Amino acid sequence: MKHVIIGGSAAGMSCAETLRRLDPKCDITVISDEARPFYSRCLTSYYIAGKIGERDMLLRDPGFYEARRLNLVMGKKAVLVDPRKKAVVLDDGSEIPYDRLLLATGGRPKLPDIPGAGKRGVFTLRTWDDAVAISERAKTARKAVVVGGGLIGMKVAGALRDAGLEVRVVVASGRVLSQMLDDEAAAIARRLLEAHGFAVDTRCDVVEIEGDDEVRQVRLQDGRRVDADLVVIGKGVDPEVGLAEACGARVGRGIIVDEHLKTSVPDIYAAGDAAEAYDIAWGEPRVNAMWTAATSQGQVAAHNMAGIPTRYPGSVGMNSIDICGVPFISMGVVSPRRDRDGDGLVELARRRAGNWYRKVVLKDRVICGAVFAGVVDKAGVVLALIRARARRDDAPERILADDFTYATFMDVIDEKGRYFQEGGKRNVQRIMQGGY
Amino acid sequence: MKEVFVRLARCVGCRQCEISCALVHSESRDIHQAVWERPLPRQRVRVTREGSEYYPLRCFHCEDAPCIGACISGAMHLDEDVGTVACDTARCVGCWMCVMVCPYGSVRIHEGQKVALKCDRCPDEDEPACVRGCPTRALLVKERALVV
Amino acid sequence: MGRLEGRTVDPAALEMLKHADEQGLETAWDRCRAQEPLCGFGNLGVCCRICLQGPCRIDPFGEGATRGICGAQDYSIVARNLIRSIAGGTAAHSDHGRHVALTLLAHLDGHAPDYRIADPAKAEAVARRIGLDPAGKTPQEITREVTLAALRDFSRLEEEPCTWVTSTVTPGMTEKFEECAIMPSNINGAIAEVMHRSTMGVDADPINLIFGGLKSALADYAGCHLSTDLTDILFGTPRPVRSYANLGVIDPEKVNITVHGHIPLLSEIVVDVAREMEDEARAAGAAGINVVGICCTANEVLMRKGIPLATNFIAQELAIMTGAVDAIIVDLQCIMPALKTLCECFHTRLITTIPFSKIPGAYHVDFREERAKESARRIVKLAIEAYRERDPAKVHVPQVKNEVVAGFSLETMLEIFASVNQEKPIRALVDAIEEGEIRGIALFAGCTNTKARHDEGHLTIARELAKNDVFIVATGCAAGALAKAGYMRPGAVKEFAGPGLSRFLERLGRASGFDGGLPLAFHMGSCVDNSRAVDLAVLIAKEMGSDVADIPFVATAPEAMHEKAVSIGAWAVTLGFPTHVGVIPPVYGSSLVTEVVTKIAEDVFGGYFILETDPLKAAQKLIEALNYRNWRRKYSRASLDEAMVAE
Ligand SMILES: Cc1cc2nc3c(=O)[nH]c(=O)nc-3n(C[C@H](O)[C@H](O)[C@H](O)COP(=O)(O)OP(=O)(O)OC[C@H]3O[C@@H](n4cnc5c(N)ncnc54)[C@H](O)[C@@H]3O)c2cc1C
Ligand code: SF4
Ligand code: SF4
Repeated sequence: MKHVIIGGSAAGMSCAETLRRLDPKCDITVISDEARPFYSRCLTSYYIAGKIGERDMLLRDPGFYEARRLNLVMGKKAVLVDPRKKAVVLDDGSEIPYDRLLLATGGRPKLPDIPGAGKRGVFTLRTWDDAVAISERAKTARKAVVVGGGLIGMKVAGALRDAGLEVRVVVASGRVLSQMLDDEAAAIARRLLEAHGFAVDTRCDVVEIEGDDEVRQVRLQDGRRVDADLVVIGKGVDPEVGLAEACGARVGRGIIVDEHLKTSVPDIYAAGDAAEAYDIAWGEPRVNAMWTAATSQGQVAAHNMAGIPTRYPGSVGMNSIDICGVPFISMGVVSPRRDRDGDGLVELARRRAGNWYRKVVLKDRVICGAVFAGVVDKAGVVLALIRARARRDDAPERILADDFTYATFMDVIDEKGRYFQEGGKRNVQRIMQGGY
Repeated sequence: MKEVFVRLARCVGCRQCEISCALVHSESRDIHQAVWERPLPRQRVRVTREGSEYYPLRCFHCEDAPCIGACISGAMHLDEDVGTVACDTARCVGCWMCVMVCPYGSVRIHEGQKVALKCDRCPDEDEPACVRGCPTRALLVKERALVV
Repeated sequence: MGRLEGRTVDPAALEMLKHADEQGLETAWDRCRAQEPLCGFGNLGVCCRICLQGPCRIDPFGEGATRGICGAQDYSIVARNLIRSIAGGTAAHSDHGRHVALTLLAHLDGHAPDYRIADPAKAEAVARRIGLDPAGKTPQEITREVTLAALRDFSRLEEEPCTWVTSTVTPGMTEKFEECAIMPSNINGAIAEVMHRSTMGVDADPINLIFGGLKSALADYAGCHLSTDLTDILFGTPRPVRSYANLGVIDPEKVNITVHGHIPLLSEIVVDVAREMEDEARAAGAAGINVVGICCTANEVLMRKGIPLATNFIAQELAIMTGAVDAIIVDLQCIMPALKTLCECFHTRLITTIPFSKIPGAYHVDFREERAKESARRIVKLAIEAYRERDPAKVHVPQVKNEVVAGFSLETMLEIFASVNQEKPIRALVDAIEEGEIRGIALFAGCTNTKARHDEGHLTIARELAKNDVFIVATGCAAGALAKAGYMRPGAVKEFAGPGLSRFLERLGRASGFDGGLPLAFHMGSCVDNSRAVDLAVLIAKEMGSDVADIPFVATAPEAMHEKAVSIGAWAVTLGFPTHVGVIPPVYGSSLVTEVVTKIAEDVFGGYFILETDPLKAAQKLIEALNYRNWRRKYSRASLDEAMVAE
């Protein structure tokens, strides 16, 4: 059996590893257009901040690939997938035949067409190479403007600040982290940012990047001009669906997959940021671009590719970020809009002294989303509740009162839980739990 | 593979496992010295009560550990030799992805060091400290295969 | 070090531990293992069980609860627990004293014919000390007055100080206690006050609580002291005696009766009666009757009657395991209920004697002062009866015992000192201190405890201190440890004493004509007899024109166990002794309370606790404390001289 994986990052590499575990004999080829071995994309901002060195960016030891007998095709782009010939064509013209193919092509940063975005000193952040370039520039730059207040924007902003730059964040929407946080939590985040010396402009956009061939200034929507010698644009990520589209696979926002992560084309699977798989909290397919979904989709895809039918239970969109030392976690439906998201949605929130904030969102009395700020311990228990889609009427109150543990909800959380009898009483034993 | 099991009926909520855990993760391993250490030693097990039962909650060292899949730095990993899910705190960047996904609330934030804090099942001990510390033997180590 | 070797340094105890191991007999050490790990909250003193809302616990690592349900902080909880244990100790010591007083009174009233006033001179001396005029009164009258005065220390309603505090310390100390409002006026009242102020919702101020505890501690001191005084009057003030110590004193040929506990009211009579009943024992086939002792009852009868000491607290079970003890008669305090099950493995009769101190399944012979001899006879009979059932196959007596010279009441000590300084006996000691011949004095007190290696702390520290020329006095199970190891035989001086100390002891021994020479450590009696050591310290202080807080006199309880040790430790600190404890008491749960008892106490009282589990380090710290006081004394003396010269 020949397995070919396009994309050697979270989804691709976890698929490759799982395949090897399931089938010691099969052929596994991983194609990546990046010239670097498997590294953590999420650490790129830490790299810019100088908190992480070369060594720690890499997620596997050098001997790993050989030990697992993975054929790595690095620095080469797949330009075509031919489902009839069952082969992948590379940019050097070579062809790699496959029996089963995984598209783990990830995503590509959105590039809004801002005049002057091509100048030197303007970046997006997706790859390690991007990070190297940004940190090189950061050595001499003093003032940075980050365009976009999403997760990546915030991470870059924090990193640049750690690297010693003055940082301004320009956010088009009314709040920072608008996808991840609700108004209240975003307000806490914003206050923290400002207290730590970030300039934050909301409901604002960069309309032009000025300078000769180097960036000198940016012009804002409201007419202000601010000095900048480094600009990072973080306006979101588009799933990399080109190959899929070209070979006739169904594509929505991402590559549409079924519950076994199969695309509409036989023997082609998709996983990770490129795929549009089922979202538990929303109850519909969504692109959840996050590391944890990519790794578990990679694993599930591997099972199916290896002929072990395995259902992907779905993901929950979620994120965690540390803003100026204060942790924030959100998951599922965070700030529902009644007009768009339908009825039966209830939000319950509580604010406490300091930066403590917590919210749960219920749909038909079942928790479908939550926000944590300040204290995030046990957030995973709430995630498990969301995933279980079980109704527990005491859950909102106990979560908001921080009066809960896994034990509170164990009867509804662990559908996979196994128990054993001893001394006539039910006892918890070690519990198996699938990935997310 | 060894596993820690909980006999709920025996847990009386004395929280000695917590103390034993903090102690084994202290510098001195002596209660009379540990309370003077800074930062204070942290425990990885937490006893809670639900209704009339006490639950010593600790990491289950899942077979398909969500925390490993979620970890962006490679810090959280499977120690294949002993079958535990371990956190290499030197690599941990404090993104709290693991806190976000652990269904059991078993990973916490080490406030002093800003790294993930979880049960390591006492790699240097014959028996995990919580098990050794439990006065009613509510916690015990058994071969996984014998029970599953 | 083997498993069993780690438990004790006493060769006799070790032999018995091995024997127990082979025979599958359980000891305190085994039960200690079963208790491990000890509750961390209790160990640190942060478990509060005082009201029914709890038990509350403070997380010592700061992650869980930081306050009890009522809001009590760690320091309030630790302080409340601590002073409650002081009150426990106070109750034990003072009640012991009160029982002696009541027995004396019963005798004076003609209800206790088997007793007598053995030491009228002591009665007279005590009367004088507490300000009574003995002139023209009969010993009975004097004793009655003294006894009633003692009982008044339990019952005084006026806010006047306890006689047994004010009459036994320096005026400076009395003043200090008044100033700090810790002078008790009534022993029982002080205990009640501790129980009250530490109950739910009363005192939460740790310093205030601790001062309340110190008031109780001083009441404990009064109780100890009057107990010593009255026991001396009733049974005689100890005089030098020779005897033996360690398990080898159990004689397989004889009917062995072990007396155990603290209050010698019945044991003294048992000793007498046993002598009268030798024939009965011989009739049963034994070579006679052999009475031996454990814990402080042992110390009492050793000091006054030369009865050999079998062992100390933690090894009490090992005595039974020799299989040659026919009866063990117990009174109160430090008696392990475990003795019962153990006695069942042998023919040994366990006999309780105090109405409020019983053990299920034991024989109980109610002690009544009016029928003391009769009770004693019944007990000896039970022992002889048991002897007939003794299984020789089970007899295993380690052949380990050491010679002991004991009986060093303050009176005896002063007599010895008088041999070099007739006019002012105490000068003998003071001169030696001032001339630097001896570094100072150390009181060894307290129990033995499974937390430490049995006797190791006592012996190690004693060796270190002796080597550094420290004069050693001892009481309680500390004295038991030193006795068993041979530190109370004359030869020990040569073996362990530093040059100064050995010169001093040899000179004293020669001058007093002490037959065979003086021991290295001076046995002053039971735990209540720590009062004798205080008398010695106060005498020295007065002679030096200062308070106890200024003289080079330290105390150590290397293996403290009982609440009584806590209360004694507390008053030792209050009286001004740097006091080492080798087992960490439950105070570390509050850094504030720990700070108070180990440091701040010194600023107020001169005394303070040295908490150190390593015996060698502890010895070092004690020596440093002595050095410091010597240095300070010399320094202030020198500056005084300077000032005088300048004038
Ligand atoms: C700065 C930053 C911070 C982040 N932080 C977090 C975080 O904290 N937590 C979290 O959960 N997620 C985070 N993410 C998102 C996370 O990195 C992604 O969800 C994850 O990397 C998705 O993995 P993937 O394997 O699906 O895709 P990718 O990681 O994007 O990998 C796809 C790979 O395929 C290659 N490829 C694409 N097309 C081709 C082709 N035609 N031929 C050959 N190779 C191709 C790409 O070059 C790439 O190497 C962050 C992302 C960024 C950029
Ligand atoms: S930390 Fe949580 S998810 Fe990770 S292994 Fe332990 S129980 Fe499982
Ligand atoms: S907090 Fe540390 S261990 Fe947890 S996911 Fe992040 S990097 Fe990994």
